[in-house]
Amino acid sequence: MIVNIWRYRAFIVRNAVSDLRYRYAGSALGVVWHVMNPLAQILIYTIVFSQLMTVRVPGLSGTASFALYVCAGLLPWVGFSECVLRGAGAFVENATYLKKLPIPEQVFVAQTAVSATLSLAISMTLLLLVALFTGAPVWPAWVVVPLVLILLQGFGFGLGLFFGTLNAFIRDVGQMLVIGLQFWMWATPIVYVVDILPAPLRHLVRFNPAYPFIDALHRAVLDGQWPDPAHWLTMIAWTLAATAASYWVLLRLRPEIRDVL
Amino acid sequence: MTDVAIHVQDLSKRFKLYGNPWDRVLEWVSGGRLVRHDDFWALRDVSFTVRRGECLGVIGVNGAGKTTLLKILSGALWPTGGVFRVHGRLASLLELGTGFNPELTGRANVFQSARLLGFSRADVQGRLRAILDFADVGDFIDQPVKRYSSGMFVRLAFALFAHLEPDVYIVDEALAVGDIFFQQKCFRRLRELRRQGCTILLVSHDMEAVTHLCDRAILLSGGKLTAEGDPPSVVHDYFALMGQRFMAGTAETDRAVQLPAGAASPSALDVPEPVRAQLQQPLTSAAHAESGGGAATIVGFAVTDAEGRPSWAVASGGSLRFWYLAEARSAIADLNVGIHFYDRRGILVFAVGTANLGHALPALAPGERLLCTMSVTLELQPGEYTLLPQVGGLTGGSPEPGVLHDRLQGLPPVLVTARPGPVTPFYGLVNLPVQVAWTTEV
Repeated sequence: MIVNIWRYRAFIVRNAVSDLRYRYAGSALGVVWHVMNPLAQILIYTIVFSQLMTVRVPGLSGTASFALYVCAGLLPWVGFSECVLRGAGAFVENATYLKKLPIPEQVFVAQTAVSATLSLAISMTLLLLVALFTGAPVWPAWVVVPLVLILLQGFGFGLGLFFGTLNAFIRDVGQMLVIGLQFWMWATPIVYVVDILPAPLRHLVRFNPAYPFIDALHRAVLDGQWPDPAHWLTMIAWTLAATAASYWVLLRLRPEIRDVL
Repeated sequence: MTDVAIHVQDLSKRFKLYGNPWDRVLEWVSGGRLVRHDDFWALRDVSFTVRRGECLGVIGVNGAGKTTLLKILSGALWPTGGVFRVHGRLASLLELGTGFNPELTGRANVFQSARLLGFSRADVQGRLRAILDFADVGDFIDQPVKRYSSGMFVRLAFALFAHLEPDVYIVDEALAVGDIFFQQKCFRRLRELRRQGCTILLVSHDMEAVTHLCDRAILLSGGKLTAEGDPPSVVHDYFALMGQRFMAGTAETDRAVQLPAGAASPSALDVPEPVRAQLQQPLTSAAHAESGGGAATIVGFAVTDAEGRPSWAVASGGSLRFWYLAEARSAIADLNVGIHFYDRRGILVFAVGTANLGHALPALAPGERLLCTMSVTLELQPGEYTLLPQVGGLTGGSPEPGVLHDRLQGLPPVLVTARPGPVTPFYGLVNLPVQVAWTTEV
């Protein structure tokens, strides 16, 4: 699977870039919107949480930092869920290519994953810049953020490919996924801190596959903590598990995918 | 280097048809114990070999499995069973322009599509000039292809396809696009490629093209390979098959008829045995026009060559015989048996009836039958012509056949092929009788 993705890397990157470039095609500002949208989001959270709803969060210092906390979890989640959802729709979306060209199936999911990751890179860069300007402390641990994000998107690619394969056969999968991801987001400490959960739930949250990624990001961005080995282990394990499961499903169903598109 | 370009062995493709997508899930969770689908075999045990440099025609009616076969060979579908091997690089016209990204320029698309087909940037660079000349899109080459007219789009796609020089070409119907000049250019290019030793798989409904371009042809029918050999004989089988498909009614056996015994024929009409058998085949009811009055019906119909062998194809200037078995429902005094020929644009090329020709057919009592044959010399330009055989009656002394009793619709077309010879005998729709005289004493 990896070999084929590598072989088609130029196709994947080119299509991912043109996907981004032409998303706002026809608008006067064009690609600038890729910056404007996340920037607006970040500014809104910053203003709301630092000026209007001055939330005091135990364990977090300062007023701006809750905005930073929310954004540091929410922006990656948006990128991740875009990666999963668009990946799950990739076969249906690219049916015309799949039915006529001998391109391996996973290439199309990789393409949406790269596109989602590129826009995530833009929004996270903006977040760190805004953090700089608002006077949040800068940590050396920020350098691991890209690595965590790549693992997160790798996990998203695996899930996207898994559900995308199923979605080719049963189109309801894509719709169920939209709802499922909403529940999942609220089950993950993104807009709240884990400490507000009652004790039994606080233990359960460790089994939430998204938690180690989001927690590692929170720690690195806000407190400058390097992810500990347990974090790395669980993140890598989930990514590998999702990719392996998706590959297994793809391998079993591949002969029929192009028949049903 | 092997001599074989494509080898196909027992290739099969099954599509599973589900009433409901969740039935598939039931099958999955039952681990295959529960079967909730119907099988549709688009291809069944097809085997053939194409030698290097050979041009193979693939023909068959719609739904015979041609496209499925091509898609499997080009890697866009997975076969259910059997094996196939393509030696060397393959490019398929099926993909014509599908790899194009509408937002990229023509030039960028040429490079990207070529890469998808396994050709390097350098491969394309060397051929770019020829591709651009062939495509003839001018300065548009640096515009996004979304601004292209559909003609420009197809020209660019074909130009790319025709200049990549892979080892094996798969050419689909897509050739039937563009104006006549572009089509001719495409065919010229295909001939050129053939001469250069490219292996070509040509899929077409254009029997003319198959007969002229291909060294060999195969006929697919219902997913099976039913004939293989020289193009003319396979094309003949194709038309015979189309004839059979139309004739082979399954219900309505009550309409099967006993022909009058040879001695009882009014004139000493010699009816060959295969024709007699074919005329007894019940016609499918859908073939009868609803507009017919029904005073008489055509209960049997056959087409043969001049010698009475079943055939739906003839060289221009040759003859086909059309055989009718008509039955009167009520007493008819003035039966007129006729035929119409339409070309592919739907233009009536020729129509004639026994009444036009001055023949008075015998009066028929209810239930009485008449076997009639018309031999028509088809001095027509090569192509496919659809038929409308009909029986009618005259009204009063009008020169028009006033009443239509019955007419057969949806018959397969007859094929008129080019007459072999050094000079084209004529141009235009039909060959009119011409007399020429000359003198040098002026």
